[in-house]
Order: sequence, then structure tokens, then C-alpha cells
Amino acid sequence: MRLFAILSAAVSLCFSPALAQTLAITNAKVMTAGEAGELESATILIENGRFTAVGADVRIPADARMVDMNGKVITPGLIVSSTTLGAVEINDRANANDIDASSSTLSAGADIQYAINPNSTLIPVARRGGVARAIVTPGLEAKTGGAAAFGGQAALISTAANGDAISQPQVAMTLNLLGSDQGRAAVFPQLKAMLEDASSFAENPSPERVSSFKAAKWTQADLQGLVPVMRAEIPLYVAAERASDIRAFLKIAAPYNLRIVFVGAAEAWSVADEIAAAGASVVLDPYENLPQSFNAVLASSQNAVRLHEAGVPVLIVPPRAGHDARLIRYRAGVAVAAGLPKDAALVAITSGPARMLGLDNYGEIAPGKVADMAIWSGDPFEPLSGLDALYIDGVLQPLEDRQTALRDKYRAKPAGK
Amino acid sequence: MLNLLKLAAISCLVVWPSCAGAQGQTGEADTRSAATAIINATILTAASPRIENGTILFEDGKIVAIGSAVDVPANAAVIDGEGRWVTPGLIDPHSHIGVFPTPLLPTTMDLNEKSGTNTAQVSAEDAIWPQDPGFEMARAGGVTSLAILPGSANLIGGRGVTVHNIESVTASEMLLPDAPEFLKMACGENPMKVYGGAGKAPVTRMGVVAEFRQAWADATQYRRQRDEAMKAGKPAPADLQMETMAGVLDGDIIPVFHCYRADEMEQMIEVSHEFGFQIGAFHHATEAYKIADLLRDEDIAVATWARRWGFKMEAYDAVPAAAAMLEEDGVTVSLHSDNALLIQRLNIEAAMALASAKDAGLDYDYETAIKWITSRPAEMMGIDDRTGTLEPGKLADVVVWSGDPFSVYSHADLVYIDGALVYEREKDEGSVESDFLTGQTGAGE
Repeated sequence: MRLFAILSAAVSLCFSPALAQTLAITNAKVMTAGEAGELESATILIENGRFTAVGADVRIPADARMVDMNGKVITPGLIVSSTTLGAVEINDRANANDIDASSSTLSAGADIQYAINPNSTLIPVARRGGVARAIVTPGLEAKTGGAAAFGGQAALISTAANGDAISQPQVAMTLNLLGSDQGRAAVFPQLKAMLEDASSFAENPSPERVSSFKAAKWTQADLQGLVPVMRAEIPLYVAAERASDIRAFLKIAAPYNLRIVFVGAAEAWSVADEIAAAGASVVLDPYENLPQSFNAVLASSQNAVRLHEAGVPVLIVPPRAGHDARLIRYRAGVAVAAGLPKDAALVAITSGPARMLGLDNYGEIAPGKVADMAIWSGDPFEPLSGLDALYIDGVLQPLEDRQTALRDKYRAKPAGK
Repeated sequence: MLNLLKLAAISCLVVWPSCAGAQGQTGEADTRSAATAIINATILTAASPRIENGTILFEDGKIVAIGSAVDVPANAAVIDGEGRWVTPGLIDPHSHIGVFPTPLLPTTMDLNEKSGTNTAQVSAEDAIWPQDPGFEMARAGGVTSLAILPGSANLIGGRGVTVHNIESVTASEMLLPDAPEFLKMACGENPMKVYGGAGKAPVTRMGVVAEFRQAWADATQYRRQRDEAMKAGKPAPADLQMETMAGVLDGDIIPVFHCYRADEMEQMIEVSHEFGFQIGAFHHATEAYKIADLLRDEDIAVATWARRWGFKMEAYDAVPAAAAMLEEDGVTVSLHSDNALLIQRLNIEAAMALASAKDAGLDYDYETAIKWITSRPAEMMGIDDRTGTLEPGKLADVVVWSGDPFSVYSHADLVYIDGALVYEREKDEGSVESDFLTGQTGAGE
């Protein structure tokens, strides 16, 4: 509380136009999530929303605002690699769930940026969990009916208060491998043909060519949406659990230079070497250790550990619902408990997602990077540690949410009322 | 076996097919150990302040002694607890493991008998699949007892039972002997979705409350007729559904409600007053913090979550400090899982709830947090006379943790049920016991 007051006083200027003044954070234990690793008693300088210096021997400008952290722990602001945050208020029967455009005529052309509501009550709740950014991925659970179909374009959002939420739209494409009700014997040949269409279109993406592609009911927006995927400018998220599905997709994607990210991927550990060889990444929830179906018989608490050991970039996520985004740091802790090195677990929820997107100006405390950082009372993976402050783009964020408001409202009521 | 049978033994011996079933040893681990002593450990008993450098001694399935100065018999197996913590076995008052199992298939989905809004005649006991790998994963998380309940599709879903989390081929072996049964009921969105969504009653909350009133009116009438018939020496009516509900009115079955909203909980309390039964607990109860005083005065317990919220409208007002706020207001509160992944880390749920207490300015300690996942669920399940705390005479349901149980990095190293070692991390981690996973290529590797 006291720290928050000091910080509020210290950086209230950040809310004003006087952004140019340097903020100097001193005497902090900094987990950089970058090459510098962990720094004890470090100083961080922030100017114009960016880190300008990080280290033990940083020269502090004379006019800098100083905040002494007294040894508190600082990490980059956390990044959730796959979530519905901002596109869903309530999942079930509340007309407040806009994550899937599956009934539309669009597949790859669907674009989640238009569904993000910056006023969603979920966003401050995520912020309170130290989450600064999130990759909102549409269509990963979409049931597409008869034909295989892409889920649409993902967006990188910010949880900053008073922002428009979108940090960058169209950062990735999604595909729910088993979203159609066809058997695999039909799904994979169909997807193979769709990739051929998309690849061919990407070579010359002129609108008049759209009608010549027949592997799916393509709209121009669909084929256009796949151009950056086929050019390896953005990753393709592929929701899959079974090892054979991961293998099959790698096989049909082999002719192309795709940046593949498997999501869910309960059995991924058993084909870790093949995933590594393909340069693919895996987004997983370390809690998922039960054989939920015959597609996940090999589910294991060791999934993250074994993938990491095989050299696969692992991204750790909480459950997909945006409500649970705040749980991400405990999930990282659970992966550490299972044997994942602590630095890898931190990367998996900060710089890893940023690198996976190719947006490596995020997720790391290093000079030149966007100044998103979370200040913790202790080890950030421990439930008993608290978030003391969160900066996004160098700006101190409010940590109240609808839940603290409800709590305080009812705690203020006199007994018996 | 069914506790209900005891009350029904006179009235419906002929009705219950399993009345003649064996009343053998159930819910007890096969091999009770000789004397075991865990020494030098930090012990949270859930009944007293923590004991540093403590010893717990158990024999023949029961705790014999606990404290900082315990005489360890020469023949006891001694386990050095240096750096480790000991707690009671964790208890989950709301689980569906075995009836909503993994793998979840149309053919293993035994959660809801969706053939009518009142199916009080069915029991989760009759559907528990002991091969559900969820049981062994929960065991590895230190869970020694759990209530297995039917789901919330129906207003009156059926009976639930308490099991000891032991390896078994049949569910009967897992039942905790003489533990009370539950009648699982549900308010709100789920019955409205399942029945209203199909054009049947209840479509609205008006329908929900009306159906409850009718069901309890029917049960009241049944019970009067049954008792009159018995008095007159006439044959008793044979109605399993009504007999279960009469069991609640007789005070022999614990009624528990899946209910989220404060206003709905209050309505259920009104109904209980009208028909004269005592509600045992509201489960989920994400708005219980709004009516804490009422719940305390009515002596109704609450089982809730540390963090779940917003997945449906009726769960929109959940707050992370709920457990602490209920604790502050004197409500018997516990955490629960309702989920086969969450149950594996009830200790982390308790740590989250404790952190939220601190956030709210409520200074609870480990001694309170451990109760939320041990003694409190035991109380609301009516098994606190035998488990839920570490005290002499209680069942030796014990967990030895690798470190602070509220740290995300700690593991359950040893789990004892009835004094028998049922999980040993060093040996069991990665091994597969469930028949479903046995022989599956790659499983457990």
C-alpha cells in the first residue's frame, strides 16, 4: 500500500504530457527475461515509455524521479500467449461472447481486433495479476461444421487503463485442427489443398484471382488474411492435442515456410524432437495432465519440461477464458515445480510470447524495449506474493477492479445488513 | 453402503435391492501400517497452532500422538521430516471424479441423470468409475477424502457420497464407512438451461422455486403417509425418490445446494424453513459474501473457490477475498474444486485465498488457511469426528509435504490414508495405476 502511494506520487507525471522526464527505479531485484538474466540491486531507467538503461552501474540523470524498491522483485509485464481476454465478458448465455466468428462467411478473414472491448471488466482483473499484454486468439475452439476452416486473425492487446487496448492487430492466424465434424482422413487432405491455395495466392495476391481457388469457399478476406502466414510474417496457431495430429500437420505444412505454434498439445512431449526440428513452438497449460479424451491419452505434468529439454520454445498459459488470465504466474510456478528451469518459466510468460510473434520489443527488461514491468512483493510465481505495481508503456497502472470494488462495498456494510 | 438404508431399514427393506448387501469393511486402505512416526517436521494440525520440530505417531490406522515431545516406540518406522511439513489429508467437499471422469466420453458421462428435474432416487455411488485417473492424480496432490456428487442439471440431482481416495477396483471399497450422504440440489442457470432450453419447466427462476416447493410438499406428504402406515402396521409406500427426500426431512441426509446468487440462496433458505429442513451447505456460492450474516445465523456452511468467476452470469460477482470475508463473519467456509485439475492443487487454492485475505486487510495465517481444505470440509461433510485434523484418535489421513504446503514449488511427498502409505512421490511419480492408462503406448513415460 505504502509503496503504491509512493509510486503514485512518483509517477503521477507519467499520466501528464511530461513523459520525457526519466523515471529511475533503484535497488530492485530485476528478472529481465532476457540475456542479462537476473540482476541484484539493479537500477532501471524509463523514458518516453521505454527502458533506457538496466543494470548495477547505471548513471542516473540529475533530474530523474527516483523510486527506491528496497529489494523488491521486478519482472517484465506478463504476456498471455492465447486467451479470450477482451472479446468475452461472460462465456455462457449472456450475449457477451464474441471470440468465435464461426457462423460467419469468413474464416481466415475474421479479425478479432473488432471484437475487443477495452471496457471489459476482465481487463483490470488480468492487470491485477501482472498481465500487461495478451494475444487474443479467435476460433481455437470453433466448430466449423462440415468443412475445415481457419479461426481468424489474432490481436496483441494491452491491459492498460484508458487505452484503446489494441497494441497490434493481425499478429497471428489460428486453426482448430479438429473443428470440423469430418474425420481426419478428410480433414488433412482438405487442409493440404487449402495451404496450396493460400501459398499460390500469396505469390500474387490480386483480388481477381480469388475465384480461381477452390479448396474452400474462400472470400478475398480469407485468402488475404493467409498471405502473411504463408510469407512467414506471422505465426499460425494450430490447436491440436494428439501426437499423430501434430505429426500429420507438420507433414502437410512441410512444403511451406510456416511459423507453427501448437496450442493445447497435450501429447506434444512425445513428438518433441519433431516439433523442434520443424522450428515450431508450443503453447500449453501445465495443469493439463489428465487424459481428457482419446486425443490426450499421453497428457503429462512433464509436457513443458520435456519440450523445453528438446529445444522447443514453450509458452505457458492459464485456462483460455480471459477471466483466468491472472492465473498465468501460478501456472509458471507449477511448471517450475515439475522441473522447468525458473528462467525458462519466466521467458514462457514474458519475452517468449513476444519473440514467438516476432515483436521482441515487448516482454523484456532491456534498453530500448517497451517499459512494461510488474513489481512483486516476492517470488512472482508464489501465490503468497503480491503484485505491488504494474507499469505499461512506462505508465503506472491502477490495480483496482470490479472485484475489489464489490469486496470493499460489502465489507463497508454494517453488520447485519 | 447407503446410510439411507439404516433409516429406511424398517420402512422399505423390500424396496432397496442392495439392502442385503455386505456391510463389510469399506473405505479403508488394505494394508494398515505398523507404528509410523514422522519426526522433526513442521506440523499444521488444523486444530491448534503449528508445531515446529514436531512428531506425529500413528498405528493401526489411527493417530496415537502428536506434539513436540512424543515418545516413539522402538518398533516404529521413523521418517525424518527435516525441512518438511505435515498436514491432515486434504478433503474436497465437491468433486465429480469418477462420475465426470477422464476420458470424458458420452459413454463415461455419468454426471447428470437428465431424465427429470427431480432424480433424488439416484446416487453418484452407483456410477463412480474407480479407474478414473483423476483419483490417483488427486491422491498425488494430497487429497485423501472427497465428496462425489451428481451434477447440477437437475433441481434435485440425487445422492452424493464420501469416499476415501484409495486405489480400488470397485467404488464400494472406497466409501468412507458411516459417512453421511448428501442430497445434491441446484438453483439457477443450469436447470433453466437444461430443461427450459428444451421447452420444459423450469424456464425461469420462478419455475425453479415453484418446482422446489412442489417437490418438498410431495416429500412432506409422503413422509407423513409413510410414518402413519408404519404406525398402523401397514405396508410402507415404495418410492425411492420420496424416501431420499424424506431422509433430508428426517435429518439423516445432508442437503447441499449448487447456488451462486445471494438472492437465490435466501430463497432456498425460505423453502427450507417452510418444510423444516436444515441446509448443510451452499456450494460455489460466489455471492455468499453478500449474505454472510444470514448464513452464519442459519448455520449454513459455504464451499467456494479461490479464483473462479465470470464463466456465466450468476458467477459474475465472485470476489477472490470471499473465503476470508466469510471467515471474518463467522461462516463455516471451505474451498472446493468441482474440477479434476484444480483438486490436484487445493493447497495452492488455499494459498491464493490467503493472499486475497491479506489484500483485503484480513490477517489470517497458515493455521486458518489449512482449515479451508481440511477440517472445514470435514465438518460440512459430517466426517469431522474421524478425519480433517491431526489429533489423537483420528484416522491417520496424513500428508508429508516436501516444504511449505502453501508454496507452489512444494509437492506431497507421502500420503497416508488410514495409516497406510497410498502415495510415495519418489516411487510413484510418473507411474500409472489406472487400468485405463495401463498398457497405453507411451503413457506414464
